[in-house]
Amino acid sequence: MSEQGCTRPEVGDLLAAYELNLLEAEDRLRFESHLETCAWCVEELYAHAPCSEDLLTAPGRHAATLRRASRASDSGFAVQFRAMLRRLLQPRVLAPVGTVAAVALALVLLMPGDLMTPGAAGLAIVEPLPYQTLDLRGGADSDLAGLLAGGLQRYADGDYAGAARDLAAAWAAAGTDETWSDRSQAALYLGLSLLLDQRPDEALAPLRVAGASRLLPVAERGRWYLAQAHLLREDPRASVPLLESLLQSPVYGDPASDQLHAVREICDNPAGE
Amino acid sequence: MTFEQAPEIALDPLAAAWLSGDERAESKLFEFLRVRFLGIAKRRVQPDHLEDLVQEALQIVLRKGREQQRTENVLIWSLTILRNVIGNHYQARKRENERMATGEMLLDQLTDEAAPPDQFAGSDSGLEQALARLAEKYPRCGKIFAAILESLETGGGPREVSQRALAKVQRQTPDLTRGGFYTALHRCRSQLRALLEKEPGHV
Repeated sequence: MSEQGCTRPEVGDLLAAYELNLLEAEDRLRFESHLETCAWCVEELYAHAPCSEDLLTAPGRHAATLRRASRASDSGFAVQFRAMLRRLLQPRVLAPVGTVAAVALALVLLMPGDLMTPGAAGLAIVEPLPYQTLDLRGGADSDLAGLLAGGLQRYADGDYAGAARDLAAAWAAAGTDETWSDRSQAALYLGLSLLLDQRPDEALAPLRVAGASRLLPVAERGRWYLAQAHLLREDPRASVPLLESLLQSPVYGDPASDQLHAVREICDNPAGE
Repeated sequence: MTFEQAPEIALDPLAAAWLSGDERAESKLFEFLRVRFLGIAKRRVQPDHLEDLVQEALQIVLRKGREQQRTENVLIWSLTILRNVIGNHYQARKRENERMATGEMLLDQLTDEAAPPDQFAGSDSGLEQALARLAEKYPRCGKIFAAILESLETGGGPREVSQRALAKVQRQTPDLTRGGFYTALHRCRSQLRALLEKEPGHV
């Protein structure tokens, strides 16, 4: 096995799709041409070949395995454990014993967020929005435009921490400049970079600005990602009105509906019973 | 098949051309496989066995390919044949080694070729267990694989299968592009590989 890894990761990323016969002729040829110079990818195909053949030979059976495992996981130990904790923490159970109540209070105060509201963060969907070049215009000076362009380039490169830093600087430099027409789009990408950098608390403010944009696509995206930020913060109730506002969206309608259903289950039945 | 007009062609159509009697397609296909097979086998067997093993594997590909009229996923299928040939080679060497050891005639040179753990085909239950673990541990990966496998089960060409699976995943992740989908699948495959390596008796 080559110790160097794939020689061209942008082509090597097609490997799994190649194995499962998902690639059209042009991409297949591109990947197979890549194999002429990449020993790492050849070794990977070789090592995984029996599994790939198994998956292709009996896809229905393996899909059923995955569905069963997903269902088992959804009703698994973690959820039941949280439910048990919540039942124990109910006042009628704890009231007779004052000392136990004190311990329970301490537990509540020390309990991690994901035990307070089971599974809310697990519902969040945060995928990088495809990078789109912004049409820079308005009253922004060249420094501001440079910061914005630099931040977006870092975002496109997958450097979300760097993107958040540059976009936050652009945001701060713009201040309340109402002539800067890219404000809401910059807010969207700043919020999204913070989310992807796993900083949902900081993402709230810029995503609220994006969600209030007069540009409908920006507003919908802003509200969608703001809802995801609330879920990541284990605050599912805050995501409900945002998801409701997206139900008629041609882009976000279906996922918002699915997510809303799951969020309401958590809110209506926080013990997971 | 217009192989003469298409010097650059993917392996599956090349196999179709070979099966329809195109000798140049056959030559090109088997040269591609031979080079890849040699690269793989030279890391696993002693040099004096290398050419023989590769030739044996290519002969099987040639014979079974004709029998089965194989024109889909030819490379992956060929690699499983190579794995079996190398695996059989190790088994034969092991038996020979044991026989000689019993007669107190163990030769040092045979120990140079110990079978690495990845040489034997994995169990089907190992894959099932790893898939179940994948869905539990990485739910999103489980959903991506399930969408693809369900689409494969429904049938159709690569474009149709891929589009149907992507559309299903996009219900949860509307902004996911085709490129992002393939990249996500690639990462999930890495997780599956890691889980498979933990399954006893599997690759």
